[in-house]
Amino acid sequence: MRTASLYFDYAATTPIDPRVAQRMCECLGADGAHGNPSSMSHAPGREARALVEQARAQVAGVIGAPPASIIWTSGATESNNLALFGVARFHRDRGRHLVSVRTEHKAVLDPLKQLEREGFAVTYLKPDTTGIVAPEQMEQALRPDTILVSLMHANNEIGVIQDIAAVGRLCREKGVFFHVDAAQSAGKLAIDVAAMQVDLMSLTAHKVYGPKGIGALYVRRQPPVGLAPLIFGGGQEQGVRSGTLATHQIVGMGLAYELAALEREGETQRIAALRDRLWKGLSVLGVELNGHPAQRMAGILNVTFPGVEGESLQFALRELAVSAGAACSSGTDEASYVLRALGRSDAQAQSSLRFSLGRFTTEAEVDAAIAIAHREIPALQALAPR
Amino acid sequence: MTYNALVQTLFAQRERAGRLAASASVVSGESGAMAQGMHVRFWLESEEGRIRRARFEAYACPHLMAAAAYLAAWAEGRTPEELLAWEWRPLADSLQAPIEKWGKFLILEDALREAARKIGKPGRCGS
Repeated sequence: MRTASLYFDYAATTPIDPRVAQRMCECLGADGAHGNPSSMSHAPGREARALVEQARAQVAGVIGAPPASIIWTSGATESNNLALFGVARFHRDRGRHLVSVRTEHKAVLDPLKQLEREGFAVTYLKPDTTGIVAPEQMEQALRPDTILVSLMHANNEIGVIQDIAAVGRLCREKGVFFHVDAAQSAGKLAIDVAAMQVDLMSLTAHKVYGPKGIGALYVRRQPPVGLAPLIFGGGQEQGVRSGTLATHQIVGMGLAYELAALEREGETQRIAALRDRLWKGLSVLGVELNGHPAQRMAGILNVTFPGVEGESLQFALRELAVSAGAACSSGTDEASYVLRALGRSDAQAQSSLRFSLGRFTTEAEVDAAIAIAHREIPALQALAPR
Repeated sequence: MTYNALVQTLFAQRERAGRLAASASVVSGESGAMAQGMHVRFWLESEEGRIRRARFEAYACPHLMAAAAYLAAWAEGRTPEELLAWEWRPLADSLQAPIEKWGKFLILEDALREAARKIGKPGRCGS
């Protein structure tokens, strides 16, 4: 059986940059940072703490935040949970209404469903057919008892970029906390949490060539955002997220973010050119683009292959590591809820694939993917009864 | 989803994919719809009471693509009665199709039977 060897799933996760892996290995080696970062009474602990704080500054720098506003977590899923449950439970006496969007990641939608079971009301906005949510929609959804708006910066399936600054301005005017899931955008798009008036932002390492299992939540410090913790224990991370800090993971995330910021501009242009090359090659097959044609991430291309059944599409293109829907939910046969929210039919959504490109994607890989698609897709389209 | 070797082999076999040109000896039968996630059509050419050539068109998952390819090959040389008596379950087992796909084999069966029933009847061409 031919197996996937051409990797086009960077939106699901990225390979670790060798420079990051090396730095992490140094932490784990015999002369590494084995001390507990909370053990400030001895040198190994202080050395580990220094590395943790250096990484905190590296991550904070990418989003224009003060280092003390960064809380380490296990990844964006935990960050989203901490932001949503933390704010809702801490401020429940102020109001019990939240606003979000149908196309958010499950790591936002599922906590919101749980909050509904706990007595909160949630308004889920429907984006337009390109995936964009207009700030006016958000304004109309806000109520006197709204305490939190949660909006993802860039969509993980279609790559569409929302107008975070406009919604941030609106939320600040109305006194509503604003959470942004930036798992797909941090390190790839310019972010300034102060200018965008974001109160909480979820971050992860493994989408930016860092390790899996580490992430962060930005929490505005001035004025402070009240946050009820989810994990209790040693009181680490200002009492908001207890647990021994994983120094090597944190160091990896710090360097990954620093590298992403340093190389962002050139890398974005290179990846966008590869994405356009891929689109040009696929478009002659009669495919349809999902998501906004311009307001989108450089590395994500989501296309529908009309007349080709979804499972056969994936099987025919099994040499390509691509995703049908989000990696976190693609184990199911259900059509992508994101594409359904854009107005695509079940059949169209199931006949869609996300190609995501990244730092290590080459022109040769893109050309190989186009050639495979040209070999398989017309044959499957011709097979469909008319 | 994983597919056994038989599915992979049959999925790649496309020599009986397509249509037969309309003629007095050609019939077709179809079932399903794209909106249902599966649409299949069989084309049968008969001669002296037996299927001379069979072709298929399909919008379906790999298991059912493989099944349609198998059935088109299997039908050649058989009588319409044999086609009408075909039962889907042994093929579904051979292809190790998951239980949630068994209903789609009935769609396949419907298409084959519709074509088989038209053999020898007037006004059948291309219908």
